[in-house]
Amino acid sequence: MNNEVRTVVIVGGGTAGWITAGILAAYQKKHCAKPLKVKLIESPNVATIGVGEGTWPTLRNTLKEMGIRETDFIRECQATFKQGAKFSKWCTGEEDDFYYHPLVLPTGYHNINLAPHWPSLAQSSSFSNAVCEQESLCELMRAPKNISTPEYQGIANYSYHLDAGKFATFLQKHCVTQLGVEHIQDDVIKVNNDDEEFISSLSTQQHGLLEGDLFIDCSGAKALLLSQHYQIPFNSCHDTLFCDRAIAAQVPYSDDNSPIASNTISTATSAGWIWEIGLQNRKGIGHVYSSQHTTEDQALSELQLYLGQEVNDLSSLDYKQISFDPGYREKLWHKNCVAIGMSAGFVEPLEASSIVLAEISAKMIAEQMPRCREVMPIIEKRFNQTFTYRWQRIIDFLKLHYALSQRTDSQFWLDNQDPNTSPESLNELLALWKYQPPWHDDFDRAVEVFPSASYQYVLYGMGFKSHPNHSGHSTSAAELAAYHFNKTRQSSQQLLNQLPCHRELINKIHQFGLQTV
Amino acid sequence: MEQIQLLDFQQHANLKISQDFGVQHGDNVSSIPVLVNELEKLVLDYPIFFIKDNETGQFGLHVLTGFYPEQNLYINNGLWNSIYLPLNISRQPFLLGKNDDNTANQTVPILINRQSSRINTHSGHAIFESDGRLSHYMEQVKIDLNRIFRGAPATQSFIQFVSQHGLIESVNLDIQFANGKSECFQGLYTANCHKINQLKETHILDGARNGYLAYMTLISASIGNVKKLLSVA
Repeated sequence: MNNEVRTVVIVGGGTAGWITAGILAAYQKKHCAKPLKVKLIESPNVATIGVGEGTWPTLRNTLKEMGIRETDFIRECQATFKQGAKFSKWCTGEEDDFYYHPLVLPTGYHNINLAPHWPSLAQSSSFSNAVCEQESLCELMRAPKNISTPEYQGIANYSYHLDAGKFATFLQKHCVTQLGVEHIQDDVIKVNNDDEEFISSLSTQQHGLLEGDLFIDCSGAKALLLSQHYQIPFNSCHDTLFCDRAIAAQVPYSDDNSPIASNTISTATSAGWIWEIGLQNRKGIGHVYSSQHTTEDQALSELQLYLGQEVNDLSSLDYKQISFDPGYREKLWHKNCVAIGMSAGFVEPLEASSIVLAEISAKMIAEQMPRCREVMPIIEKRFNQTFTYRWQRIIDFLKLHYALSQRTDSQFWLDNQDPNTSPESLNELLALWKYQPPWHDDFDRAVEVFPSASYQYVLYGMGFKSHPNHSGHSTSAAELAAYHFNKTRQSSQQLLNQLPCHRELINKIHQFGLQTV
Repeated sequence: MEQIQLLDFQQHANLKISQDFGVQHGDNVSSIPVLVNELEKLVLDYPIFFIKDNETGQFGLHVLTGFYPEQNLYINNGLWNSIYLPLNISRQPFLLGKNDDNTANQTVPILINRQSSRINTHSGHAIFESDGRLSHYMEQVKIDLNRIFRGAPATQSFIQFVSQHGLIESVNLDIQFANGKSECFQGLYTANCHKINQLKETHILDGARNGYLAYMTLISASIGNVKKLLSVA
C-alpha cells in the first residue's frame, strides 16, 4: 500500500473548519489506535464571516460525539434552543399569514401518512398543529426540555441557535485541548502539487512547508484550494434562487429577562425575507434579498421598518453587508482535496442548511476516510455523487418555499412562481404531490437533509392542495388517523403544562447545568 | 407566633412530640431525602436512588417509599414499619440553625418548627425534663441533628463526585404489581459500580478514601429492596 493517508490538513478556521476538525479527530480517537494527524491552518488576517446561527438537530449528536458537554456549549456560545421555523407572509403577504416548519415528525409518521386525512378530519387546525405539538410550544416560547432532562435529550425535538463567532472559538479550544488537533496560525502563500497533480504541501508564510495526504478546503467562498488552485467551476443556481445579498444586524434585548423565541422567524419582504434568531444576549436579524429585484437602499429600509418594532435608535446599529453567488462547485472533491463549508457552495440560509452540510460532509469523510491514494478516486466519486445530490435537494426544497407563494405584489414573487425558474426535479415532485401527498419513498436516499415530512410541512403550511384520493379511505385507516389527530391534541396540552419558558430554562442551565444522564 | 423558634426551656417546657406517622403529619411522601452517613442503616430497609430536583435538575439522594405521589408504603396504621427511620423523619419537628460564623465552639442552635402537627401537650415524648435538661428522647434527636450536620456536606461532595465522573446511571423500574398491572417508573438513578474501573487511579483513590465507592455499592445493592416495597404495595 503506497501513499498511506496519515495527515489531514484543513485550511480555514471558521465554523466549517473547526466542525470538520472536531468530527474527524473525534472519530479517529474513538476508533483508531494510531489516529491520523489532523492539522488546521488558519489565517490570522482573515475574519470569519460568522453569521450562520441556525442549525439542525444533527448538531446534538455531532457535539456529543466530540465529547462536548451540552451545558458548556450553551453557556459559552450564547446558544438557545430551536424547534423549527415560523414563516410569516410567505403565502399571501397578509399580516396574519404564517405557518410553521417544526423539527418533530408528524405523529405516527413511521406508520401512517396523516396528510391525506388532514383536510377531512382536522382542517380546523393548521397542518402543523394538527400533526404535531411543536407549533403550540413555539407560539408560547416554550423550551423543548426541562432542567431535569439529560444533556442532548429532548422532550420535543430541537437544534440550536448560536453565536457563530463564539462557536468557532469554543470548538477550537475543544479540538486543540481534548482531541489533539494541531492549530497553525499562518497564511498559505502557495499550493504545491506532486507529479500526479495531487496536493503535496502548502507553502506558508512562517511555518515552511505544511505537508499532508488529504486537504480539506474550509477557506470560505474564495475556495483557496478547490477553486483558486484546481479551478473547479461553480454551478450557479441564481436563476432558481434569486437571493444574492444580505444585510445583517445584531439587536440587543430590551432587558436581560426578555423572552426568547424557540424558533427562527422568517418574514417575507418584497424581494426576499428577513431572518430573526434569538440568542441569549441578543437577536440576530438580517434581510436576505435579490439584487435583481431591489436596491440596497430599499432592502435596508425594509429591514429598518422591521427593526423599528424592536429598536428605538436604528442608527446605533452596525449593518454588515454580505454578497454571495448562490450555488455549489461542480465537484466537491478533486484528487486529494475536498471542500466543506462556503468553499463547497452557499445558498440563502432559509433552512439553516450550511452547518448541517458541513457536519454530514465531515462525517462522510470521517467514516469513509481513504486509507491510501489508490482508493482516493473511488471515495471522490462517491462523495461527489452524494453531495451533488444533497445540493440539488436543498435547492429544490428552498425553491419550494417560493414556488408555492401566492404573492403578486412584486416582480420577485411573480418571477419565483414561474415554473421555468424551478428545477425540473421540483416541478415533477409538485406534479406528483398534486395527487398524492409526500411520503417516505419519494426520495432516493435513506438519509435526506430534508425528509418527506419537511415537504409536507411546507406544502400544506402554504396552502398547497392535494386532490382527495378517488378511491377514498378505508374505515380502519380513517379511524387510525383520527386517533393520531386526537393524540396530538392531547399531547400538545400535556407538553404545554410540562415545559418551561425558554428563557427560564436557559437561566437554569447557567445556574445549575444539565445532567449527563 | 413565629414558625421557626430557637428551642428554649422557658418557652417549650411542656411541649410533647407525638410519635405516630401519617397523612396528618405530611408523612405521605413517596421519597425522602437521605444522607450518606445513614446509608449503611438504610440499606437494610429501603431502595435508595438518586432523584433529580424538578426545579434545578440537580441530583439528590433519596429513599423510595412509594410508587405514586403521596404514597408511603412504610406507614401502616400510624406505625412506621422498618428497623431504621431516616434522619429527615426522626428529627422532626426539629432542625438546625446556623451558627454565627465566628463562634469557635461550633455549637449549632436547635430550632423547632412550631407549625408541625406533631407538637402537642398531651401525647408523645416530652422535649425537656422538669429540671430543664433535655429528655432522653431529645438527646437522641440531638444526635440525629448532629449526624445531619455532618452528613449534609459529605452527601453534597459525594453527589458531586459521582455526577462529575459519570457514575450515575438511570434505572427503568419495570414493576409487575400483585393485581397483574405492570408499569415502568422513570426518573430514578443508581450508582454504576462497573464504571469505577474506568476512572483515573487518582480518582479511584480519592473515591475510596472518602468512602464514596462504598456508598456506591450500598446504593447499587439497595435496589433489591424494591421487592420489599412491592410486597406491601
